[in-house]
Amino acid sequence: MTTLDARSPGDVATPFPLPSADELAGLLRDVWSSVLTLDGEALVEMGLPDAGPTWSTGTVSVSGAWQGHIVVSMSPALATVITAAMLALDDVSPEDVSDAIGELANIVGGTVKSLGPGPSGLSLPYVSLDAAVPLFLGSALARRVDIVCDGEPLRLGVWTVPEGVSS
Amino acid sequence: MRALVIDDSRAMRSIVGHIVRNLGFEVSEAGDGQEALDTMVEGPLPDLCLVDWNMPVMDGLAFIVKVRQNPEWRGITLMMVTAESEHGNIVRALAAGAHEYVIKPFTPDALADKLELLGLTQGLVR
Repeated sequence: MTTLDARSPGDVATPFPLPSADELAGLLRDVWSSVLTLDGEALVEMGLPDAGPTWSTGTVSVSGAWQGHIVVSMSPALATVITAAMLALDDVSPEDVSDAIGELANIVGGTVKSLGPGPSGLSLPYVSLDAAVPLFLGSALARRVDIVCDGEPLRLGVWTVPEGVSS
Repeated sequence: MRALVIDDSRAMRSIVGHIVRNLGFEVSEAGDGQEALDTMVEGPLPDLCLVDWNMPVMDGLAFIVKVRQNPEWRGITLMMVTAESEHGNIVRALAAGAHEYVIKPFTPDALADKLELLGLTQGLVR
């Protein structure tokens, strides 16, 4: 199992200058400390395996002045921690996790979307639990940040439709 | 004072509801704009609606437009609480009748500050 660099891929032509990996990591820390009221400094950039474990994933899609997808993936254990923080509950159900991860994707996605050209719209989030990270045909993974939070993996990916390619 | 939190995410309703409850509001919830309108028709009317933008059935912008069409609901304060942060969308929401706009992610203090600016926390504990 190959552990990739914490930041990749970087060489994909994008329709606008994407936020840097630092900015994306900072965005996650802001969400951690503000919405989740957890310690944002607990998020540490670190390379993660590209495949293998199942993930809990929230995705929002962008359409309009630019097209793409913003994907927040994490281990099921971290998804449970996030959900418990958002709902202020000790025990959470799969429905709770789906709701919380969807909202996390919505918040992160909205911020990333606003860094691109407008006007653009954001889809409702869609969530998959305990599955492989989704791939998006016709799009390319343009920016990725891998984070470890108290030993649990978290990945933020920005997929765009490359210039010159129709979606 | 009564607050109606409108968001399709239960997690977000929990977070926003907790913040405004701590400010002294009596809080009720709705999962989309249509459910919120149905709640308001049944009464009692809220003093404040905190409404998300992207929701199924009826989104936040359509909800605000509907509320503004009803002269009997003129006294309700409408605050958009949303991940939509494009300048154009903020202008659209305010033009449609929203009184304030809070962008996710936000801190509890940021939301409370906005409510204070609207004069909605007078007499409430903060």
